[in-house]
This record gives sequence, C-alpha cells and structure tokens, in this order.
Amino acid sequence: MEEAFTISITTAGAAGTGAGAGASSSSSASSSASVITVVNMDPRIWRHLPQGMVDRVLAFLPPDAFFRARAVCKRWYSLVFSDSFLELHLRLAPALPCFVFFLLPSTTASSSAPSDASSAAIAAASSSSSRPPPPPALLLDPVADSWHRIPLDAVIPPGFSPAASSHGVLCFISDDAGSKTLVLCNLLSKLAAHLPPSPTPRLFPTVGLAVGPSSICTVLAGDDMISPFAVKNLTAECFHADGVTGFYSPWATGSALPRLCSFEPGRMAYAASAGRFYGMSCGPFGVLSYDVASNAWEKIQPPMRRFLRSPSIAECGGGRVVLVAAVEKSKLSVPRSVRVWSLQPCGRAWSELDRMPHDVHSRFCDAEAGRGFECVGHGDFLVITMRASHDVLLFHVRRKEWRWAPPCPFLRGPGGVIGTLRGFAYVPRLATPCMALLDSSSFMPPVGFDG
Amino acid sequence: MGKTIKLISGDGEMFEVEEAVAFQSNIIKSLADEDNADDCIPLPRVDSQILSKVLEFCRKHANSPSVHTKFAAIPSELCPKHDGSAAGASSSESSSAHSETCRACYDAVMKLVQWDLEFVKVDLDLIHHLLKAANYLDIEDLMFMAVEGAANAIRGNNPEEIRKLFDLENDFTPEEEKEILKEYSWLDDPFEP
Repeated sequence: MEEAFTISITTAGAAGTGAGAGASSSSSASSSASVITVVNMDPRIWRHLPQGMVDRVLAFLPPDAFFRARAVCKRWYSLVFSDSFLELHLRLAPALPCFVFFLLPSTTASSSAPSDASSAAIAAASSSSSRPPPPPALLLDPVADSWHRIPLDAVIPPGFSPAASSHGVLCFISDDAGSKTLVLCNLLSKLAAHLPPSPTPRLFPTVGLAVGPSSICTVLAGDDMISPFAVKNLTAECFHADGVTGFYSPWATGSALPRLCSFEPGRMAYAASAGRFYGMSCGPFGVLSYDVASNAWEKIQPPMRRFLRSPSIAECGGGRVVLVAAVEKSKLSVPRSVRVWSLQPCGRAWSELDRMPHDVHSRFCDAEAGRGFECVGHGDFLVITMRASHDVLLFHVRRKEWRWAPPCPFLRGPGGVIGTLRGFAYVPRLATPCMALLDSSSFMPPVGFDG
Repeated sequence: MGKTIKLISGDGEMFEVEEAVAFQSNIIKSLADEDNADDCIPLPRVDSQILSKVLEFCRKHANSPSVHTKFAAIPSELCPKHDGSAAGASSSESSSAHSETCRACYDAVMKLVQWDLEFVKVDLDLIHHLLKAANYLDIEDLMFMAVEGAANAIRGNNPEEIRKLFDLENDFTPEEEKEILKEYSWLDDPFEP
C-alpha cells in the first residue's frame, strides 16, 4: 500500500475517512481548492504518530466521542484513570461552556427538594432492591446547539438533589431536614466525594459552590431550623479548603445574614473576579452578596424593585453578574417585558443590558404563562427555563442575541408528564483534581441512603 | 517589507517570508538568532507542500493574538478598533478586561477562530502532516489547531474505524467489548424515562 496518492485540500471536510464533523460548504474560507500530488507516502501514517500526540487528539474529543473511543483498546480505555492523561486533558481540552439540566417532577416545581410522594416512591423501590435508575442529566452545548445525555447511575445516592455547580463539579445536597450533607460529583469520571455534614440544621438552604484546580469553597445559607417546625433566615456557613495554601476550614466559618432577608431556596452565583457569591432574596426583592475573604454579607438593591417578577441572579463570563426578571408595572400603558441588567463595577448600580425582543417575548409568555422562570449563566450564554415547560431560551450576552434551544430529544413530547428543568453551569471535565482535597475515605461507592 | 527569512524545504524549494511570519515557529526563531551568514534556514523534515500550508497559517497569525493559548488576554495594541491607542496601562489584567468588553476584539478573535477551523477541515492525512510539522517547528497555535482538526475529523468514527486509522489492535475479548458498549449505550439510545 505504498503507492503514490493524492492529497486534495478542500474546505468541505475529509472524504475517505467517514468523518462526520458537520463540514459546512463555506465560500469565505481562504484555503485553496487545489489538488496536490505527493509521492511515495505511506497511507498508514497515523500509526507513526507519537503516543503523546495521539493523547492530545483524544483530549480534544468532545465527551461523547471520547467515551466511544474508550472501546478502541485497553490503553485508551484506561486513559481516564491515568494521571498524566488527565493532566493533559485538564490543560488542553477546550472548555466547552455548557449547561446541564435536571428534570424536576412537576409536583415539586415550587422548591428544590423532591416531594414526599417521590421520596416515598424511591424508598419503596429501594426496599424492593429494584430501584429505578435516576433520570440522566441533560447536557446542552449552546455553541453546537446539541443535547447529550449523561447517565447518573450509581454516582448520586438517593435522597440527594442537585444544588450548585462550578466548572466540572456538581454539588448535590441531602433532602432531609437537619444537618446537611453535600456531595461533590464529577459526572464524567463518576467520582463522588462527601463533605463533612454541616453543623446547623437547615430545611432548604441556598447553596453556592466555587472550585478551582486545588480549592473548594462552598456556602450554605438560610433556612435555619430554629425549631422542628420553624425556619428563619439567620446564618450562613462556609466550607473552605485550599490545597496550595493548606487552608482547611470545614464549616468553621459562620456569618450572620442581613436582617429581613428571605432566600429563594436555590443556588448562588459566584463571581471569581470579585470573590463573591450572589443570591436573590424576596419579600421585598434584594440581591444578597457574600464576600468570601471578609466573611460578610451585604444587600444590594435591585433595579425597579417594586415591579419585578421572578428575578434571578446569574454570572456570565468574565465575572459579570446579571439580574434577569420580568418587569410588570400595574399601569397598563407600560408593556410587560423581560429584562437583563448587568451589575456595574461599583457593585451597587445596575445598567440594562438588553430586553427580550417582541417575538421572543410573546413566545416566552405563551410558554411561561406566569408560572415563573429561572436563569443561569455560563460563559457568553444565559439560559432561561420556565416552570412546567421543557422550552429552553438562550441569550448570548455579547452579541445580544436571543434564540430558543432545539427541543431536547431525550424528553417526552407533548402528552407526557411535563416537569421543570433546573439548569446548572457545567464544563464537561474528566479531571477535577479539587475533589482530592476531601478525605479519601469519602470516596466511597454510593450505597443505599438509609437517612 | 520588513526583514525576511529564507527557508529551504526538504525537497529543495526556497520560501522567502517576513520575520514576523517565520518567527511563529520557535525553532526557526532560535535558528535565525544564531549567526547565519546568508539567513537561509534548511528544514529537511518538511517538504514544500506542507511548508507552504504551514506558512499560510503563519501569515494569517503573524499579527494576531495567540487565540488558542491565551484566549482572553488580547493586548489592546492589537485591537482593530482602537488601533494602537491603548486605553490605559497595558498590564495583563487590563488587557483581558479590555478584550472582555471590546466588541471589536471579540469579533476579530471569533473570525480568526473560524478561519482556523476551516483551515483544518481538511483530509486527515494533511492534518497528520501539519501536526508533525507543527511539532517539529514548534508552532504552538498550529499544533493546537491541528489537534483540534484531527479530533473533529475522527469524532464521528466508530471504534473499528479508529482502530484501522491508528493501526491499533483490539485487545478486548468479545465479552469485554460487549460490556463496554453496553456501558456507553446511552450515547446512542433514546431516553426511556
């Protein structure tokens, strides 16, 4: 097989190798369509590629292609456990700013905890040891406009719900009232690590998570159970571990919340440049900001405070904090709108970034029907999901473009049960070295949760 | 035209290019720094076809920020809109802050990324040669793009096709292979809630 052959340089993607990379017939590419003849070359040249370079190519594969490639041979299968490959992957793999969604049953749309009915169902099923597997996480790549499924299988123990995310790590929180256990998970490598239980008993606290290559910082705020039947928003606790400085503070840092705040149970957004977590408080609406370094909370007044409906705080690339809310004035002359405001560098004032254009807004109103919506940000994108709807709306922050995501092929069509999608910022990462900071004994295979 | 460098490919063809273009290659840069009387650098391991493609890439990247290694840190001097008049101190922090908010920088970077993706949407064989050339000549951006191009080209392939391409032996037993494919069957199966 060592005859001369032709390399043709085209802009339409590889011909003979079955590549399916969605090549577009672009007319603006400057690569020439010339045909070049090269003599005496061995077509079986990929075998001569140095192993390090093959690994680099593998590190670049998107998650689904990577997992398919694991079936090629034993060496490739085991790469996921190889520290050197994981380090390469951490360094090289393009950080795809994605979102991962969990489908909450429609009965629990009003809180982040599963209803008694579904907990009972799970308990009943586990007692008969034929527990149905949890529904998979749904990954949305906003750039490629594609959906992927990530099975949860045995990664998450029952009795936990998704609470927060940071880079490639997802945080789940125990559902039961009382001292809360957080579990950090890497969905791709299927590793889970438990944090020590938090001291203060809470009901549905708000969770914030910020991880780095060798650090974990998580904040648990609100819903202090001052008695078995009463909650008040009094305190927050912070778990902070840093592998580089050796700092380890397991829930030792407590802080008092500002008076008269009432967290919407949910997640907080983290702005790395400011070193702060941001969350939404209601009745009246306020934005709560927690400064990790000084362990202090402050309240920021949102724009148009008395006319907001369903506000949420999100963080976009570059540490930009945004507030997304519906604006509804009682005066009929002011049309309803959904607006995006950006927090100014001073940390107190807001400026309007954009608002939904008319056609997007009218489809949004039909889908949302006043039930409420949430917003989460990642990189250049904001994603809006609506209660009891499977529609997902995307907003590109720099280009100020609104568009609907393609319908998720993994969700049942109309006629089936419509749940609520709760989204989290996610980067598919094989390597999340920060999880090694937690006690290695916590890396246990999840067993039935006897609560 | 600024100072030029002469390069000789493995098959004897001479390419004369500007320094800024050639110095994208760290190897060429270090070879040129040595006292070379006639500024002619031989590159025996790169033939003319590949070298011309490599130089096409280098020409495009000569006066652009290195998008793939440090995406956000675009110095404001390179901003097409501001044209050299830096808004403030050109520390790396203000550079990344500049590119975060400057629409012109963002668009320029996006355009370059698009051009790069088109550049590597070529035959796998050519990508292989570009990879080896980028490695040999130590051109970081081209290496980055060639790897991405290779990954994009093979991402649709099934394991057997990949084995054929990389000439790898399937050392799984049929049972093991069945287990693995079952483990990842969720990649292809529709969701049954």
